[in-house]
Amino acid sequence: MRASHLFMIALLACAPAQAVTIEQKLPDASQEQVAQNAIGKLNCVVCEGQALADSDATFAREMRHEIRRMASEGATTDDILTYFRARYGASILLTPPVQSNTLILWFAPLAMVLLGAWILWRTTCPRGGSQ
Amino acid sequence: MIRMIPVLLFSVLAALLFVALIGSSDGDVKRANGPLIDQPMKTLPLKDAESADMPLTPEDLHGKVTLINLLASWCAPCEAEMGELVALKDDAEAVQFIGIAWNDSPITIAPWLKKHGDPFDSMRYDPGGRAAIALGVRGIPETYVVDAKGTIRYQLSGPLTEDMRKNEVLPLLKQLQSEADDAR
Amino acid sequence: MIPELGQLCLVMALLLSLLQASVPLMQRLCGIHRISGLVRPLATLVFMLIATSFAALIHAYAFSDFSVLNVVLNSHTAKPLLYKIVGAWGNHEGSMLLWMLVLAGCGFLVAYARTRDTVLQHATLAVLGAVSSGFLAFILFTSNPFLRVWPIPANGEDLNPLLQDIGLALHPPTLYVGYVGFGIVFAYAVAGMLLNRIDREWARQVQPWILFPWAFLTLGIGAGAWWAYRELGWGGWWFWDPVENVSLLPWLAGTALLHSNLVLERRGSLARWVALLAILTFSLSLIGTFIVRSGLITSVHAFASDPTRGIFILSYIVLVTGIALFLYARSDFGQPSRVRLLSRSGFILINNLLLLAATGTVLLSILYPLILQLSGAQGVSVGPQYFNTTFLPLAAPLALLAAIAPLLPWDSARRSQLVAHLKALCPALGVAAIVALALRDSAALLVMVGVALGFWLCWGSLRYLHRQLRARMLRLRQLGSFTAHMGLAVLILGITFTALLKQTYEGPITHGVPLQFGDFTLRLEQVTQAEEHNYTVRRARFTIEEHGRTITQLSPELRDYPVRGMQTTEAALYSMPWRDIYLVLGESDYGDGSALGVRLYITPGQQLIWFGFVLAALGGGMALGGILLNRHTKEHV
Repeated sequence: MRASHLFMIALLACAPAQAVTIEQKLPDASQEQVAQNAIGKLNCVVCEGQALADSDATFAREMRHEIRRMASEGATTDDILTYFRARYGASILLTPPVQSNTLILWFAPLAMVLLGAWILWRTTCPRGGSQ
Repeated sequence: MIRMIPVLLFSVLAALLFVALIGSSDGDVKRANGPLIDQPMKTLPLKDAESADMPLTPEDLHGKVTLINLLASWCAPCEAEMGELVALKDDAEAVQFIGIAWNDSPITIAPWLKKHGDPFDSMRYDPGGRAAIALGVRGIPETYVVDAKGTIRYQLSGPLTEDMRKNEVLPLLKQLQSEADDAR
Repeated sequence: MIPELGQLCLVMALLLSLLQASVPLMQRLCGIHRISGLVRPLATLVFMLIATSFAALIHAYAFSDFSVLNVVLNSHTAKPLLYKIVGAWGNHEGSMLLWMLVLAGCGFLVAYARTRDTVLQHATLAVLGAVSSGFLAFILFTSNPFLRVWPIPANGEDLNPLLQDIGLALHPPTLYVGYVGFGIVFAYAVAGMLLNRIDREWARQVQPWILFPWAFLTLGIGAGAWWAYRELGWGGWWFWDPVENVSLLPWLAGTALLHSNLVLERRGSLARWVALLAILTFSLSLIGTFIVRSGLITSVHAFASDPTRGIFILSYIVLVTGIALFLYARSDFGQPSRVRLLSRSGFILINNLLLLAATGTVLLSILYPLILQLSGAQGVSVGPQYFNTTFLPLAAPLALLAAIAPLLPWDSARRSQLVAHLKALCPALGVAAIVALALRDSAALLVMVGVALGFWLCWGSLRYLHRQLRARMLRLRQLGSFTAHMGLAVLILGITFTALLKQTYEGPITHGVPLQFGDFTLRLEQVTQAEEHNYTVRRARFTIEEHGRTITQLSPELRDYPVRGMQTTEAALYSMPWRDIYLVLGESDYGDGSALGVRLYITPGQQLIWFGFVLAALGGGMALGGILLNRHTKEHV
């Protein structure tokens, strides 16, 4: 947190093992599932690095409450995620979306393995012959 | 030559880290490229001082340049920026200032405004955070500037400093105001 | 007075380290050969000075000397003595001093290890002197724990209540031995490159200095995970948090180094690769520390950050790593000898490939959001799902390799041998299929994969043990290798079960109304309020029954720390051999919001995870012990 702007909410509530609130579920099980799916895919915006499902910050509770409200009005998980993404940007999603500027992130592991395998191949059998 | 690869890779990494470090110690976050910039402001679910619904609709915003500020009486940086907001209002009379009290009540807000200055034309309340979420707020204080057509043009996270007020926000307000006047 | 003594010791240690680093230079300039021997007493003195300095800091904490700024910020008279002392390294400055203590301690051990190759030893100590000087300068100029404050406040600001836990007493020191310990093999690598002496003898010297930090790092990561599990109230033990990831980086590279050095030791190949890995591992320790302490990454784990410190550490890292890598580029490692892919050495190379790809992935996951932010684009967050998709597929094949590699010859194996081993391991797949079918769970396929990997490695390791026993070649070192691989197998099984078969229940709870969660019944017996040392607590006693039979009573708590203005939850844990019951007390927003709520996690196989970590670290320790014993007996023969 930069000293120059102190987000009060974050300071007070973002520590781990902070108090837990058991929240009321929606009466409709399928709507509750929609809400849980959406909550499970989002980040807590005030506590960096914490998932929304794990944060007890006031704002996080309000977000979960809002998500449940949207689900109870018939929104799908995708609707909810789109709503939040439009307002907070891709960083509110817990998993980076596969888009043009995250391709490197998603394909780098495979690329590294392939590169390494090629180097290994060249150093262990330079003439490409079998053993 | 191949043996120089580790050194070269490391230099790139080091340069990146240096730039990131210097960049991060830069003052406050303004999100000139935030996701809401150039988006039309939608209706915000808010309440008035009597806890009755008083949403902020696009009609309320149409025709006037608006500055929206989210605050709370328990928030120290919000307190710190009030002086700047009052000064800003003095310089930009025609701009509509709307305050949104987040997780706060009229009982505490009214005396707080009296004490620190009240630049707002209208004060509304967001007890459950719905409006804050609709605005993509990550914390308070947060300030938005909306033009006369209802499009969000500027978003500031963090307290308004004198420097920002004079060099960014005030010129922007004046520019948007003259755009609005021309359009009439 | 005592804090000043502490600071003075640091200054003297800095000067002596500089001297230690310049001994070879002086030797060359003055031409006196005896001077090189100076490094050993210098290293000893530096260690004694740092130890004294650390003792001074502990003294300030133990006696609540609030004239010292560090103590004011991180302690309080209301804290129990144990936690006052532990608090000495629960903050940035104190932890850096602990780092330095470990570095100096390792330097002392290097100085007094009996060795035939004194030239290498002296060169290594000189390099260590240079590394230490930079770090001491960093401490003295940006992170001085002995700064005074005036006027002296009446009391301190309470340490984060989360950090008042015995796990905290163990976790950072263990971890630091790991991070800093790799600095020794780094110094050996630089010295070896300067002397052109990275060979089998070098590898033999250095192997203990790889095993030692590796074992501690494994234990440290496990201890951190154990602490997080007990403290954080989410029933989880690994969160892919940037600070956790940062501890994983040197561990992955260190594991690669550990295995490649074996090839260098036994076969004399891969000298160049081992040198590079040695540099990489320590650099990752340093870069990791930098990333976490410079404020570049915020996470729930982060210490207070400061950009000036960041610039200092980064410059230090650039200097240390840059010079080492430059030296690497200019060094001559002799003729590279051919390694064949189908052999133990070859399998180790594949192992390295996977480990380094995994390291790269984790590093990218930390750096990429930063890169995006810098380029002005909208940031992204990298959550656990990313790692499940990228990291796990890289790590899993390691288990496949490790079951077979110890049974292959070092240089070259025939294809028929490999096929024979593969056939012999097939029963593991059968077991996995049976287990998965028995579970009839939606995640059965993944469970099967995990169980298959775990049993494959178990079975392969047992075959190795059997072969060594039959050949009467089972010494402590081989036993260590077996134990460590078994540890990995057990860990894989634990991860599979806890991740895929975990059950979570939650709901409001009131007196007299039992809650039914799956096979378990929860009854609230009593709620009590109490006042403790520095917090007030609400404790709820529950009886847990399974199928009508009482299993245990648990008392989770809600604590309120007035000084810090924090509320925490203390979960109650009941560990059974095959699963854990984890109970978290919370406030409930059902009804009028005054009720209590409870969350219950059932994690099958949780103990396997801790057991796995311990076995792996133990294996490393056993291998280390085997080497040291061997040396000792050789000298006395």
